[in-house]
Amino acid sequence: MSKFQAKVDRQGSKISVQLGGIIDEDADFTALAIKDAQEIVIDMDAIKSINSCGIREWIKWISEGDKSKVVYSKCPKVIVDQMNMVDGFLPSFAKVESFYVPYYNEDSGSEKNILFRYGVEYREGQVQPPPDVKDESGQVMEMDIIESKYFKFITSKV
Amino acid sequence: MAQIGLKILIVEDDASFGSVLRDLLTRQGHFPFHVTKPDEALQLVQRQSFDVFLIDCLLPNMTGTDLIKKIKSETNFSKTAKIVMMSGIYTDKSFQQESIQETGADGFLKKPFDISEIQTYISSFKPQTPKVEEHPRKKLYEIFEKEKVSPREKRKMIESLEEVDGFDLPFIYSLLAETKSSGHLNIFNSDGAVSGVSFCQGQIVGVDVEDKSTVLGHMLIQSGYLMPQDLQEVLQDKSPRKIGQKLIDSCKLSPHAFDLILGEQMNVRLTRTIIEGKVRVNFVATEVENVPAAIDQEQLLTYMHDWVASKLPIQWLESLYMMWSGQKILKTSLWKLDHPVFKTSFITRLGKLADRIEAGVTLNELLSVDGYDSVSVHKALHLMLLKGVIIFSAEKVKLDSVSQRKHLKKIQQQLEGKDNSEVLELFQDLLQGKPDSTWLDEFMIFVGPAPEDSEILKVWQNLRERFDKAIRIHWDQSSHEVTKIKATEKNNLRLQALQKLDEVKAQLQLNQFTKAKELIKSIKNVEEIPGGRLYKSWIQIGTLDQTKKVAQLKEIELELMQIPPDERYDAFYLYVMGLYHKAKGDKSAAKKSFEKSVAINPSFLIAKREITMLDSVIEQPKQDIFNMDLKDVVAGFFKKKSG
Repeated sequence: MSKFQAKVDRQGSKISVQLGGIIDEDADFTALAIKDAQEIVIDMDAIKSINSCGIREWIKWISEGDKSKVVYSKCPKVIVDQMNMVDGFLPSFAKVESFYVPYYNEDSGSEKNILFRYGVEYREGQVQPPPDVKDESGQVMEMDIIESKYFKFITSKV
Repeated sequence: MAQIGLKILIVEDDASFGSVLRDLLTRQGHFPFHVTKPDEALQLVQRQSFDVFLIDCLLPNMTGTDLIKKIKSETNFSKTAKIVMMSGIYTDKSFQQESIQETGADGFLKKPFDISEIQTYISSFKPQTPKVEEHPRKKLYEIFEKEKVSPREKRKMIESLEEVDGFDLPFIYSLLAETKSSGHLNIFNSDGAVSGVSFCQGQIVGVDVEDKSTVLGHMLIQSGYLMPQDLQEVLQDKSPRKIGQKLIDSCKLSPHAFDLILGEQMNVRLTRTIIEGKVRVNFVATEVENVPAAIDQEQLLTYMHDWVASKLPIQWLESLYMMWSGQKILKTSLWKLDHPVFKTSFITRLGKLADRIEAGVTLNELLSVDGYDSVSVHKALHLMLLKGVIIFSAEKVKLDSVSQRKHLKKIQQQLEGKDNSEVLELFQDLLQGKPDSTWLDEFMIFVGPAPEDSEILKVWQNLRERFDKAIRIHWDQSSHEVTKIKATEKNNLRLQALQKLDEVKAQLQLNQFTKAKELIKSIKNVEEIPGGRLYKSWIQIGTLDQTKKVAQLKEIELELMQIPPDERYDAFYLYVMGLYHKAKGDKSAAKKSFEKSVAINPSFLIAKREITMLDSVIEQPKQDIFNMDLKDVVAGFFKKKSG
């Protein structure tokens, strides 16, 4: 089981944070001070899961960045779910640069995550999914999510 | 069967004309609503949708034309709705045409108009059939109708849930346990609190709630496994190890005692998640590490029995099961008579329940069995459904005239004494997710087709009228105000009841059972107030009639069983349990309960007195550790002496 991992790269007033593993009661955000940064980019590509303790820790931590420009990048499904359900998980001062959408083919059972990027597959209030997503065997895949729920963080911010 | 009517808003300042029009449209099977002022109309349209608008051109403070423009621009006006303007003054053709052009209205009626004219006009409009998105909560229970659930189906179903009732959580826990899931179920309460339950291969391995009273150290001291000074000592240690580990490493706590309390902590915390009100849930499937104190299926069944007994109100269960009441109860592939669920007391209390289900029966039929009460039947069925041993058939059973009469009379009884909002509340599970213009039809489907027997037909018609009235009042703006006032009244009554219960408790400690009995009688729905069932049982034990002792003790047992697990971590609960065992003649169990009570509250004098009294009559039996309960063996070895 992958423990919480965090890598911080500070360049002047810009902080890049790479997060991975499990965000739970053992996740220590104290080393990731973001209070004084002007810009914070959080890469979440390697996050595997989050539990309720992790959600509380996250909200506490991210609220410290309220004076900064906060960017969420490569958000996996577990994070998108929280952004849609939990107040304060995606605060108003944070923007989502990209996130993953799970795709599925019912016949072959194949699964794939497609990265949706701001300005390409979505923008404020609008989602424009890629026209054809195919699996390895060339079969057309469908979004494996409930669109009205999954894209709520985009559609409700019009 | 009633035809689906149109929902019509009449905006007419001439009150008598408006009400005549409303009565006429009602008789035609529509659902008209009449207001006299434009602002009332606007408020109403903000809250609900209408199929047709009949709007007078000359209204107080605003013209009909302006009102239509406002409705279209400021409300959630449906584009498929029709608007008809009416006037007895502005009747010339050019005005009519201009008004229609300006507002986009669909027609103009010159007053006075003929009844048939409005009839023709309205009937030319097809009722808008809004796309009904099924309520996600209903989906949760659709699983009852499926024989097998694939992991993918389960995941999708939980994902589709936007909001569920706190009382639905035992079902979700059971579903995740039965399907051997691993991951975190995150629960979001409406007050912003976040809690979570972690599963490893279907076992519950962690429960997280924001609740200081279930902190491990606190519970260890309360249970007598740890002395406060030992905890303080360990808390000085600033190493990153968890507190339990620190206690075990410093030999202040045995690993077994630690696991016992960890299991107890999870039980109490799980119980606290089951609350009245809406919660949002999200399941994150992931690998989760197992722990020795994990709650397995067998333990979870015991807890579920406690939750069904103590946390789920019968009104909630009755409302939930209404939609299946006429459907046959079917056995699933998990149905085996040696399944532990059949040994639980709710099921054993109802003699031959399993036989009846095997023979084929509906919930309605079970409720009419002699000696079967609604509480036991609903709770027994819910427990069986939670464990997946039964489902409901998709088809409704066709009732013969005798059963139909019984069915209708039962609904009539359920509606008796209820006000309009309570009537709708009773059927909320049946109506959830459906547009309110179809509620009457939904209800009548549940009631069944019109009977041929003229006497039963009268009951059928009465039910229809009663429900129709409840819906109309619901549409009325004032009903929302009434609901608010009722909620405030309910809170005040609860506060008063809590104060009275405190007095009951004080009287009981002085052995003043008659006074306590009088006081408790004056509390409405005392069972719903925390502590209510406990004090009721205490009074019953204190006033036992020796000639009816066996039956009374059975009643007390049922009451005690319905006390929620999170209320059992209390010196008074354990004290009353001690009194109950004593009344049953089980002195050793009584002593154990009194001792636990003193462990929680070392200055609890009445419990100490009971221990002293029992000590003088109990002969210490030799302990046979090979045949003792593991929990008692561990407790005997590791428990610290209390003061």
